[in-house]
Amino acid sequence: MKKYWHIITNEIQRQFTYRASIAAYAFGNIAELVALAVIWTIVYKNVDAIKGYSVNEMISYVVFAWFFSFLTTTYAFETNVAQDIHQGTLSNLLLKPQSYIRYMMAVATGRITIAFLIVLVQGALVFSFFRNSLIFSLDFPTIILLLCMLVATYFINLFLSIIIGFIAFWTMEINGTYYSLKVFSRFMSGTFFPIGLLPAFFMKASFFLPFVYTIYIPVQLYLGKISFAEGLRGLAMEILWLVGLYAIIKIVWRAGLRKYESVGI
Amino acid sequence: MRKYLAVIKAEWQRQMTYRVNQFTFRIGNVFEILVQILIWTAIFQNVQVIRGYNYKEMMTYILIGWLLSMLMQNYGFENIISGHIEEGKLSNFISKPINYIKYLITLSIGRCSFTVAVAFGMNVVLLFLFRHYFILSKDPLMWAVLVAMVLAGYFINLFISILVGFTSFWTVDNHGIFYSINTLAKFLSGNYFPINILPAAFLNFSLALPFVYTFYFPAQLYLGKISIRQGLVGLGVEIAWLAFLYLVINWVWKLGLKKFESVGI
Repeated sequence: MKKYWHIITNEIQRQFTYRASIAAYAFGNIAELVALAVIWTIVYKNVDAIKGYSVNEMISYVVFAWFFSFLTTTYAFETNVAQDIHQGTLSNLLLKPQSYIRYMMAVATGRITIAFLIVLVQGALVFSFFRNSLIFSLDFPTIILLLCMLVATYFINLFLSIIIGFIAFWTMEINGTYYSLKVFSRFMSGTFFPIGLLPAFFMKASFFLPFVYTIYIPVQLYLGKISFAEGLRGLAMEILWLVGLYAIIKIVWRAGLRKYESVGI
Repeated sequence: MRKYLAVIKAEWQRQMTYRVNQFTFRIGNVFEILVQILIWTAIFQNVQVIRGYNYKEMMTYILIGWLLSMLMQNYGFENIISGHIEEGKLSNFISKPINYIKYLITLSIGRCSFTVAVAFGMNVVLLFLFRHYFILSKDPLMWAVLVAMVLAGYFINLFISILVGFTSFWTVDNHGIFYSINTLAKFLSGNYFPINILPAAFLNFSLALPFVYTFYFPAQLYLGKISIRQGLVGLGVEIAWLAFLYLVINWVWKLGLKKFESVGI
């Protein structure tokens, strides 16, 4: 365990090298949120409720979905995985007495630490900006459950990143796949808007995928739109997906290693 | 001139190498458009008109806006430039009897032409699928102005990307800056929603910036929400921006070269 701890602290130090760049991301992060807030504010000038959402609920939905999604993002970690494979760095890591998959999990966690703290600060600013339209709920058991769900969300995102990164065993370019999956998952997870606004078909389809449990269900739980028991079920689904994804990672990893050409040797 | 033609041809061949990646990018694009269509469709089930846009106009705004912006994009060209600078490849270009800035312009044209063809094709298919929600304009004069605008918009985006890429002379790892500039530009261009649903002061402010001419303005012209004359004025503003940006590029280039460390020598 201690060796992985070192990896995390190393990675945090590395991140400090590019602190300005990491802070620069924060400005861009806010743009989409502002766009959504503007759209909904204007739409609600003409109506009182849309599919059961009042204006405050909708603004809260958008703000918290934004906050949760940036707390749990892996910041394109697939490119790190792909690079290890393309540049042959992987050979180096294979020779060491460690599991590459666990190593990658440690790197990813160290890598996001600073950005995570920035998002916390940014979130506090956003909350105070929208304080008059936000719904604040501080029910203790709900908050605990919510935190568990967000931890699970982070690992679901991480596992997906690793799987996408492993595509690099077979092809040279993974950017397109990464980008497309990102847009798709952000849509299906309800990051932009409650997926319940759409025809029932989308909702039904989304329950067969992991994404809806990563953002939509946690936000619904926070807003009190679903019960605590339903929240627990959501967490259970997340854990099931984690197990499933981990199994896929293992299978793809084995298949990938056989294809691995160890560039640079 | 012929040497620049060779650059375009070489880049064309390079793009053909990663056809699958190209294709996967386009899938993501289609998702992005669908997400916007779905949001607005859900919204318009509750209201008839939002700030003067009815459902059909909003759909047309999104579809035509995306189609035109695909033609004007340069798909992360700043990354190529920062790669040249950070990896010292620039030394290579400086010693050749070509002008680096002109080289970049031709490189970008070669790089985009393939993607644009694919993206354009896919968007036309999308337009066809949504033809019942799409307003088709047949005014030849409008089309002529639109084509000129798309051309100018392409070079505005390209010049901005070159400028942004040149920041690599001063800092390394500026993905954060790139990301933030790109999302802010996307916001200001009207990609998320028509800028004029915001207060008039904001619209007037953005009309003085170059971004609005790469999405909002051409889409409005197409919808007939602005007259041909206003369109021509907009085109004039674009050309003024182009001249200005070109001057700034040359100026920054001279400054940057003094800082250039020629990594790798």
